[in-house]
Amino acid sequence: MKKVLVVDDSETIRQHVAEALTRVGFQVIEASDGAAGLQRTEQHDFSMIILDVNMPLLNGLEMLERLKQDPKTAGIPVLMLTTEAQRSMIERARQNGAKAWLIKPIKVESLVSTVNKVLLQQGAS
Amino acid sequence: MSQLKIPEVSAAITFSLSQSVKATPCAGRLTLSLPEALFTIMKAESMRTPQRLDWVRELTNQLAARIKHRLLPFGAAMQPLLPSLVTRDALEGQRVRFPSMRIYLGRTLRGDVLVMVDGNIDESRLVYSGPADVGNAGDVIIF
Repeated sequence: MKKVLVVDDSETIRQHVAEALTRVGFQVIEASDGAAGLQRTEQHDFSMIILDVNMPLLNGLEMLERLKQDPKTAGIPVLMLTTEAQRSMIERARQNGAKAWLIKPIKVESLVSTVNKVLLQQGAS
Repeated sequence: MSQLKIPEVSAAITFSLSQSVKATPCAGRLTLSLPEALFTIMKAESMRTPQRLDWVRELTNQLAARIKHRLLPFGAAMQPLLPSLVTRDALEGQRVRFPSMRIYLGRTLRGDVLVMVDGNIDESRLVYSGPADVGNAGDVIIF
C-alpha cells in the first residue's frame, strides 16, 4: 500500500484529504506543520507528500526545499495544496521541484486525479 | 450596529497591508463569525468528529486569501498571518475599541454570518492597475 504524507495545520483539511485518499487505497500519515512533516519522513517511506504553504514552525515552501536537498527524500513527488495563488510563488515551488500546485478549496475528485496522474508520471520517468 | 449579535463561533486573522511601495504597511484584522446552527449541515464523512473550530479557522484563512488576491489588481499587497480562534467577548470589546470597523452581514437559513475588518485601509488609494498574475480557487496546475 502506497503511503502519502499530508502536511497541513488544518485538521479539517488533513481529514478531508486522508478520507479521500484512504478510500482509493492509500495509507495516509498526517503532520500539522513542516517540522513535524520532516520528522515523519525519517520514520516512513512515502510515495508522495502533499504540502500546505502557510504553516507554523516551518512553512511548506521551506519544507519543500529541505526535502529536495536531502538525497533520501529528493525523489518523493510533492504536491502543494494551498490558498496561495500568486504565480511568483507557484513558480518558486516549480523551480524547487514540486510536481503540482492545487489552490484551495479543491474538489476531492481533482485531488485524487492529480495524485494518480503525478504518481503515473513518476512511475514512467 | 451596536445591536448586532455576534454569532457563536469566530476566528480572526491579522494582516499587514501595503497600499504602495513607499507607504508604511498598516496592520489590520479580519474576523469571520458563524452561528453554531450552521455546523449542523456539515458533511461528516467519517467517524472522526467534525472539527468545527478548526473549520472556521480554515474558512477564515481561505477568505483572507481571496481578499488578498482580489486586492492585488489595485496595487495593494495584503500579507495575512495564521488564523486563530477568538471569543465572542473579545470581539465585543474589539467592536467598542474600533468603532470604525467595517462589518459585513450575510444571512443564512441558520443564522447570520458576520465578517469584520479593522485596520487603516485607505479606499481612495485603491486604484485599478491591471490584472494580477494569480490563479483561481480550485485550479490544478501540474508542472
